[in-house]
Order: sequence, then structure tokens, then C-alpha cells
Amino acid sequence: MLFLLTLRALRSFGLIAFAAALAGAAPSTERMEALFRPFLAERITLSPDGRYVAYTQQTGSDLAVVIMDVDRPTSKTTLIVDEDRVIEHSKERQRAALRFLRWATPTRLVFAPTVYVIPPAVKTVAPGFTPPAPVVIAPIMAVDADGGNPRTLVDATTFQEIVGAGGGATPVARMRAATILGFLPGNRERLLVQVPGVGGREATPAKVFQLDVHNGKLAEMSSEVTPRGQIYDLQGRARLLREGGYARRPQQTFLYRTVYSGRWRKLHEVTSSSEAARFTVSPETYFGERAMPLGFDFDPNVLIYASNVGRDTFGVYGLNLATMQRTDLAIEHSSRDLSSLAPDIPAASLVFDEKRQKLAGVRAEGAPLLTVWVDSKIAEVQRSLEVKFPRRSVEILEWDDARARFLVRVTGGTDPGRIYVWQKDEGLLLEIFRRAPWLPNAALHDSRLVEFAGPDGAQLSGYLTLPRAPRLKPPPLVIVFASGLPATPHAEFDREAQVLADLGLAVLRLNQRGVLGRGARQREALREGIDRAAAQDARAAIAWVASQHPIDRKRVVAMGEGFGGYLAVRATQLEPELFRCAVATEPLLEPARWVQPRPDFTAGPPSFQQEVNRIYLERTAPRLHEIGVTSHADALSHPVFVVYRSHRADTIAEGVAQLRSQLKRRDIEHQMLAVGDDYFHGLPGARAKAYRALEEFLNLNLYNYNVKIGPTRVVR
Amino acid sequence: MKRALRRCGGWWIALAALVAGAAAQEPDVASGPAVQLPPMIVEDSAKLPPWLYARVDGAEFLSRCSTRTTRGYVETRQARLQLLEWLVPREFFLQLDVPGITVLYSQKLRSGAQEKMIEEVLRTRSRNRGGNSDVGALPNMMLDDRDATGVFAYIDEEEFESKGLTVATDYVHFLLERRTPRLPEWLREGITTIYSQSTLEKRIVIDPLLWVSPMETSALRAESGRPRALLAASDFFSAATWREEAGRSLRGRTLRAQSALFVRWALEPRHGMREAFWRFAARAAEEPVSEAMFEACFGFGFSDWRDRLSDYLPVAVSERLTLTPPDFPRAARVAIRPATASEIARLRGEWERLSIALVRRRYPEFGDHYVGQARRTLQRAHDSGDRDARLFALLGLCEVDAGNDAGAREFLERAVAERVVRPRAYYELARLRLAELTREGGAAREFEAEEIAPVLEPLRRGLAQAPPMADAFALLADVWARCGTAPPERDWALLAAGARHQAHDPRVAGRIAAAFGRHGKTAEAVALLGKAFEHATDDATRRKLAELYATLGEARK
Repeated sequence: MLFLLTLRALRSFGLIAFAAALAGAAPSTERMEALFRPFLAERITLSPDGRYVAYTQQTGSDLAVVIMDVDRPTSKTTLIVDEDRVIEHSKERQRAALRFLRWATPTRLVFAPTVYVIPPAVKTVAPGFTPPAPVVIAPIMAVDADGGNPRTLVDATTFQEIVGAGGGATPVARMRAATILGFLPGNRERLLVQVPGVGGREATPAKVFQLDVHNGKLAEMSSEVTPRGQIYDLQGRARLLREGGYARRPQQTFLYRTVYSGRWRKLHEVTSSSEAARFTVSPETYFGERAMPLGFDFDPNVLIYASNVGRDTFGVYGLNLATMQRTDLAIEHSSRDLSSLAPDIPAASLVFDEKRQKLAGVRAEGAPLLTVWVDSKIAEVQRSLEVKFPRRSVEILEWDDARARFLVRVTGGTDPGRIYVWQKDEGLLLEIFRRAPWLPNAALHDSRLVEFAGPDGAQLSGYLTLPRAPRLKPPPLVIVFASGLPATPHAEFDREAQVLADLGLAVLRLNQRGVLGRGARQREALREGIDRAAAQDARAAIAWVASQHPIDRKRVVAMGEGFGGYLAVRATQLEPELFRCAVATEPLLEPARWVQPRPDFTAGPPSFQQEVNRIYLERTAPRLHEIGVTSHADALSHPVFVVYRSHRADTIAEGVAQLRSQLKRRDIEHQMLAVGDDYFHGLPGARAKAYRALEEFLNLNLYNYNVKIGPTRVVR
Repeated sequence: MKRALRRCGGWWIALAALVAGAAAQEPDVASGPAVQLPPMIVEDSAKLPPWLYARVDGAEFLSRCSTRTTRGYVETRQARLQLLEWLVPREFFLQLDVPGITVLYSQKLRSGAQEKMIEEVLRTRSRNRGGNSDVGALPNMMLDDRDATGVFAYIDEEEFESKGLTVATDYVHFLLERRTPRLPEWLREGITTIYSQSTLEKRIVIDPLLWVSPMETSALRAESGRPRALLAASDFFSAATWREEAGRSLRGRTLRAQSALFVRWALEPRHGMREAFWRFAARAAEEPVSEAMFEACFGFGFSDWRDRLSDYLPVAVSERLTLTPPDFPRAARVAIRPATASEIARLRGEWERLSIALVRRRYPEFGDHYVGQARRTLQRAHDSGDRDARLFALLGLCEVDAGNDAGAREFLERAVAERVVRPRAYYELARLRLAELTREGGAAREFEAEEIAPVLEPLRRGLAQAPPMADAFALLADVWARCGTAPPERDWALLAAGARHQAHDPRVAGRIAAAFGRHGKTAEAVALLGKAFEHATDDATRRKLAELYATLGEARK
């Protein structure tokens, strides 16, 4: 007994002394808050004549739009367009943002803040009464380049409808936010907006308007009662419709109609080409060969779609809906999917040259950023700019009509991003601003894309961040698993990695096997179980990093969020000799429970996405319950730090509670940090607080390795 | 020059000197006489004070000022150079094995000898083609040969204040410009600009940076987030960019301002990049800049470099940068003593010889007077029994400069036999020996290895001294290009060094490539021609290089 006490005392003393020694090197809360501050210029646009740049900027709690003359940068016009918004149950505020910012003409700018829905104060009403409607704030505004003629063109009140007036119910005014479809081809002074219909027995039809950007006058183009989820062509006509894709009818198909017809027809039934025939998806075929509509070309007969039929990666092609034949359009990449996977319509990835009315390129999903240009001139500019910024991602955002000036965002590596105007004729890159001017390059840790061989010949990649001033030499290593199912590749710049590097840790954000966006072969590379494959990838990653940089292989942390968090904790079970501790945020500790929620009287059948996930998981682990973390309590041996939402009673919270009790029972060091939604909204204060707790956890459980426990002796 | 004079209150003279041959630094004739001649030293007379002599590390001084003034000048110069070499390591400056000479002359002793010579020439000129009486003597100047430098300074001793002395920017520019291997232009430009904005006293204070234009600089000071254009590393470090942007375009101005920004950023103690920068600069002088090389020195890549410079720019334009050098060990007191006859003749003769090339090029009608004066000075010493190898070398070089190769040979043979430290003497002797061989066998004659040994021997010895002369590399290449026997290892090493150091000079590089090609080193020849082609500024040179390339192509077939 005496012996035990002595050991513990010695250990505690060592820990305290060690932690105290490290305290001086800890990053300040201000530094952490700086890393988690939202970046500037989430939206930016170049005028058609290349003279003006307009971008968003936070000014205190306000959102401003700044208009700058590129030739005379001192000349700026600043307009306050919105303010930070209240978040329910939070002391912090959500930053305001724009959903649209584009130049209509060389001197007229159109912009729209994101839709703000204020829920009604009274949420339940007596039976027979129409529930009160939320207040919707969704203005579309315009201003001249010199700040003149500022105007709210339309707002949600413009499209307000009175509903519930029949049947004795109290009528309620329901505001509707207009969705911006884009400028009318050939006439940028007209903005196409779509207003959704209002459901119910007396359905209000959905409408499409042309909006005059100078005076806000509306001209109705169409009005029809149709389900949501339509795809409009560039001229503002509803042309494509999704059908199915919900729990009771999981098979999803698309309906289309020609330019001059009102009749909807099933796309997969009338297409003759083999790829087009795959315009249908079910949970079983989600990861197989199929085709997904992306949008329409300037020629309204041409549907642009993504397909991986007969290929490893998704390419982008054209289908003429009048002839049902493939067009010449074929944009492909050997190792990257040019479209994200989606049950219905993937996020827009097409880049058009509006002046020339042509498709210019396609942006691939995920990181590193990639745009495949079909326009050879733009491709040439891309190549020349990439030479100027090695190891960065260069993204051509827009260009002027003369193609003399290009708006470029350069990001990745160590830098959170900078915006440039490439003045081609002068050969000058004008740096307009930094997205995070409070984070100078020299204050950030070197971060770079790395690629290396993984198990079974798989090609693995990730982003390696090395600390500028490690606390220990060699520094410990954190392996961060990519999150999602299938996992989404890590972003190029990561604030979290910078915080960890501040703490003296090297960080490898690992894109383990099966990440999205790299084609079917990479996605299907998991054969021996998703958990074991990730652990093996981590082993290969640690070995590779150690071969390139000095790291302390006895101090390796497994880390991840969501499904990545599960992989992190599971990896410490499967490869206990590799890791010293695990850090997991909202970990899905029991995948079986996650994809198959326990049936109760409120739950319906599994959703489309749940079915997709289940099928995906079961392909690599037929007995899902065997891969759960809490199913292997005996295998837990390392300290665990978990961040989770305490106020939710969901699968995650249940798993965390079970893990806690298992760890407690086995006397394993652990900390379950309950956080609010602020943390998940990325609000700086909440993040800083959580990382402070993580730092303490790491001080005690990672950096204490060198505390020597001497030979056994009896103390009298 | 004007900047430097302004900085030192118009006093510092000796090092703020005209560098002969550098067109950009020719005297400003618009504000002075139309003809400006190097100062001519008055013949000795019993009325004049004695010459004083001093020697410090790498420099000799001959002074006709007081001991106090001479000491003030020499010791302050040493102190300033010490600071300069702390700011910019010595290895980045021209290295000369031949000590530089400085002649100090009291302003009040300024003689009428030169005026008499000028009057005489003008009379001749008036008789022949109508006169231009607007002729004067330059007050102070620096002249240089390929292996030596000389400074002449008139000093107004009544006004002399040694604390006010500084090293002129033009002198720093000269030291950088003539360094071998040649420094990249961004480095020369950057150091020169930063130096011109510096005050070197106990500490070094660098003024806020001037960025592109005064207006742009003020705007950046007022708004640190103001948009700015910086060149990407791939453009900035490219020799082609520097050639193309010689003008006053915004891109050109950006390029130059960015070079100063880079040097200043590297010197900023807070960045901790000083050693990395000089390591990088040394490598950049030897090989093309690549990102891997850059990263090996700085620990980060090109993109981060651009970003760091951009982040530092608002600070650089707003703040003075103060650098505190370490406490240097106290320098030994300089010994100043009366000069010997040999020293007087050698240093005076050197100055007068150095004047010849400039005068002949710019004012040919005055040339003979300068040749005569130099010959008289040197010959008098020789006649009085001086047998110093340095004197023989000077006599030989003087004859070469006077166009009398035949008269030079004997002196050069003596000097080389005595193993003189004078790279040019070895080169000139080798040249004369080769000319003799060629004369005997015709211009197209091929040589046997034994025949060229007497030419190679002085070339090898001369190239072992600093600076290794471009002409010597070229001559070595010419000799081997006409010999069927392959060069020995040591000559291959010399030719490779020549290729490395002289790739920027198509004239020399082409000749070395021909030697490579002759002896089967075709790949090296092609690579060198490629580099030389990038530096060719006229069509004739490009054509010549292309012809040589075609010859190599034939050889490969």
C-alpha cells in the first residue's frame, strides 16, 4: 500500500511539474480565438469590365460589402448590408453572410444576405388555429459602384401569401424567400428569381420572375404548382424534377420536359445512351455506376450530367434532350471525381463564361481544389498561375469580359487564403487582401499535402502540419482521421491543425482509404473492415511521417470527428501499441445503432441516407455490432478525450455515456467534455474553451511519458 | 552617388568615386565641365610635404596629407568597412588579391600641372577643329582594372572630419557588381538599395523602405491592408524577368522594390533569417534558384516567401530598422610612415596607369599625356634600381595599356618569374605567348599539347589568384579548343569553374562551350550554350551561339 501511494505521489508530482513547465509555451486564448475567427471575403466578385472588385467584410458585428476600384485601391465604397444574428440558446452570435454577390453590369452590383428565419415566439396553438408563421428576412439588394442608388429590390414580404383563410382557420401571412437562379443570359440587367409555392389544399404555385436590377420591377415568367426539387435551365424554365428518394420509396428517378412542353417524362426511360439510362438511384446503387444531372448548358436542350458508367471517376458530359444523344462535351479526370456524390442533384460545380455563353470548366469536389477547364485560354492562365504559387491551390473565381483581369483565390498550405487580381497584360498579381489578416504567414505552422503508399498498394494522402516550436524534440504526432461515411477528404487549411501545432504537436490529417472524390477504386479499397483498414492506414502514415521527419513514435494521438472520431477511438483498440491516447469529437461509437435506429413508436423506416450508410458499412463489416467501440470494452487501454453535445439524447450521446462508464470501470483516464452548439457553429469562444481543456488533457496524458517510475522499494 | 553624398553631408569623397567603365556612373557632365579628367599628380618638388605610406588589410595608402588626416581617413575607412562587412558578408564582394591603392592629396596642394597639360591640349585642339574650353579635372575618383582598383581623393584638411566619412553606395555597388561568381541581379539591387538607405555608425539604421513610388509608400503607411503587387518567386528569381523589366514599368519598379524588401526582411532580427539568407544568396550565385534549394535554406517554400514579404511590407515602409553589430575587437593602430621611393613610384604609377584606359576611351586626345606620365613614373623607379616584381608587372601592364605588347613582354616575363600577385600579368603574358604561337603557325593552326604548355602555365597560376579573370577562362578555352589532346583534370576543373562563373557572359561562355564540344563534353557544352543564350542581348551574339550549337549537333551525329 505504501508502495502504491509513493508511486502515485511521485507520478502526480512529476505530472504537475511537467505541466507547469509546459504552461509557458501554451498558446493564448486570444491566439485560439484568432484561429477560429471567420475569414473575410467569403464572397467576392469582379465587375465585367475588370475595374471593380466587391467583397464582404466583417466590421464589428456588421457585415459590409466593400467596393474597390482595382486601379485606385484607395477609392473604396463600404456598405453595411446585414448584422450578426442571434443564435438560440447561445451567448454568441452567428456571423451574417451573403448568399449572392455578383455584378449585373460594370457599375451595378447585386447582393443578397442569407435567408434569416426568425421563429415565432409562440410555437404551439390551440387545435383549429393556423400556427403562426416565422418572420423571413431575405432581401435582394443592388447598389451602384460609387455607392449610389442603393435599393432593396425585393424581400420576403414582396412574395408574402395569406394562407389558412379557408375552413374557419385564422389566416396567416406567410413570407417567402426568393431563390436567385442567376442573370438572364444576354441581359444581365435582369435577375431570374424563383419563389417557392406554398403547400396545402389551396396550393400557391411556385413562380419565376425577371427582376430589374435597377428599380426592382418584377416580370412574371412562369407560375405552376410542382413539387420542390426542380432544376431550372439558364433561361429560368423548370426542366427537371426529382421523384422518389424518400423512406417509403427509396428508388429515385428524374422527370424532364422539353423546352416547349409541359409534360414530364421519366428521363431514364427515354434516354438511349447507356450512361443516361442510369439516371436512377437507390441505396443499393448509390455507390455504383450511375448518372446525376448537374444543370443545363446555355443551349437549353443540353443537359449537363455527371456519370461514372464504365469509368473509375465521375466525368461530366452533355445530353441533348431533344435528340436524346450525347453531345461532344466530355470532361474527365483520371483520379478525381468531377462531381460530388448525392442522392439527387449534386451541388453546382459548373463554371460558365457568361459573356461568351459557354461552359468554361468544372470544379471537382473536395481538396485539393481542382478545376478542369474546357476553355483552353482559361486553362492556360490556370497553369501560369500555378507556377507562381507552388504547393497552393489556385482557384480562378471570375474574369472580366476582355479576359485581361482574373479574380483568383490562392489557398492551402500554410496560408488561409489570399485574393488576387491577376493583371495579365501587366504581368502583375495584385493582392487585394488576406482572408485572415490577423494571421500572418510567419505566425502559422508549415502545412503541406503529402502522398505516400498505404497497405495493399493503396495511395494515401493527407496534410502534414509541423510545429514551428515543438515543446519536445522530436514532437509527438496526431493522426486525424477524415470524417464522414464515406469520408470526405480533409480541407487544405485547417484551424484545428494550427491549434494542435501551437500545442507543439505534429499533425497528419489523414485521408484514409475510402475517401470520397477519388473514384470508385479508392472508395472500394476497403475490404477487410472499415475500422481495421483505417487503423492500418494510420500505421502506414505514422511510419511514413517518421521516415520523413523526426517524430516521437511513443507519443501518437488518434483523433477524429463524427465517424472519424469513432475510427480514432477504435484505432487505439485495434493498434494499442501505436497510440498513446484518443481524442474524438461527437464520435459515432456504435455504427450499428447509428444506421439502424432503435424502432419506437415515433420512428419510421430508415431514411435513404441511413440505408446508404448501412449498405456501405455492411459491405466491409457484415456484422456491424462487432465493429462498435463499446462492444470491445476490454480492448480499451488508453486515455480518451471526447467532445460531445450534452443536451442531445441521441445515438452519439448514448455511446459517449456508455464509453464513459466502461472507462471509469476500468480506471482509464478520460474526459468527456460537454459543449453547446456554439462549438459546432465554430464560434471562437467556444472552440478556445474546448481546446484549453484538450491542452490540459494532453499535458497529463501525452507529455508525461518521460516520468520515470523507479525501481520498486518499500518506504517505511 | 548623389544619395551617398547627401547622406554624408557632401564630404565623403574617396570611396564615392567614379568607376571607370561603368556607364551608369560616368560623371555628370551636365552640371560640370564637358571634359573631366582623372587627377594628375604633380611632379615631386622639395617644396612639397613628404609622401606618407600606410598599409592595412587589403589596401595601400599614399598620402600627401598630414599624418592626422591620413590616420583619420585610414582608420575610419577600416571601421566603416568592418560595419559594412558585418552587414553584408565579405564573400559577397569583389575579392582582389592585389591590394587596392588610395592616393590622398591635400586640396591646398592641388597643382597647376594638370591645368598646364589641359591648356596645351586645348591649344592643339583649337588649332585643329575649334576649341572647347570647358575642361576640368575630376576632384575625386575611383578607377579600376580587371584585377586592381585605385582611388584618388583631394582632401580639404581644414574641413576634414573623419566621423563624417562613409562608404559610398557606388563603391558598394561596384564591389557587388564585380564579384565572381556573379551575384544575381535581385541580390545586387537589393543590397545596394538597402545600403543606400542605411546609416552606418555604431549601429546600422535603415530608413523605412520606399515601395514602388512615394505615393504608394505613403498609402501603404496609412493603410496596412492596402492592395499590393509582389512578384511570385518564380518570376522574381528569374534572370529573364530582370532583363525584360529593365525599364520603369510598374512591374520593373516592383521588381526592384521587392529586392530591397527581401534583403530588409532577411536582415530583420525578429525574423531570424539572416544566416539562411546569406546561405541562400551564396547558392543563388552558383546555381539557378529552385524551390528545393530555397526551402533547404529557409525551411519554407516559394509561396510562403511571397506571403511573408507581403505581410512584412507595411512594417518595412513604416519603420526604421536598427541593427546592432557585435563589439568588434579594437583595431591595431595603423602604422603611418614616410613612403619609400619604391612605394611612391609603384602607387603613383599604378594610379597613372589606371587613368590611361579611361582617358583613351573618353578623351583620346589626352591619352598620350597620361601614358607618358605613367611611363615616366614607373621607369624612373626601374632606372633607379627598383626590382620589385610588382613594379615589373606594372611596367608590363602599362605597356600593354599603351598598346606596346612587344615592350611589355620582358617586364611581364620577369614579374611572372618572380611569382607576382597580379592576375592580369599572368593573363597578358599567356596572351602574348599564344599570339606568338599563332603568328608562327597561322590563325587556324592546331596545337600540340607541348606547344601550349607555356601558355597554360601562367593561365593556371593567374586563375588561382583573385579575381579569376573572365579573359583568362576564355583564353584557356581557346587554347584547348585548338588542341587535339584532351585537357588534364585540373584544366577541366578550371573550365568548369569558368562555365559556372561566366555563363552570364555569352562571349566567354561560347568559347568555353567550344572547348567542351571539342573534347566530347557535348552535354556540358549544350547546357552552357543554353544559359549563355538566355543572356545574349543582341542578334549577332545569338547567331554566333546558334552556329556553335549547330556545330555541336553535327558532332553528336
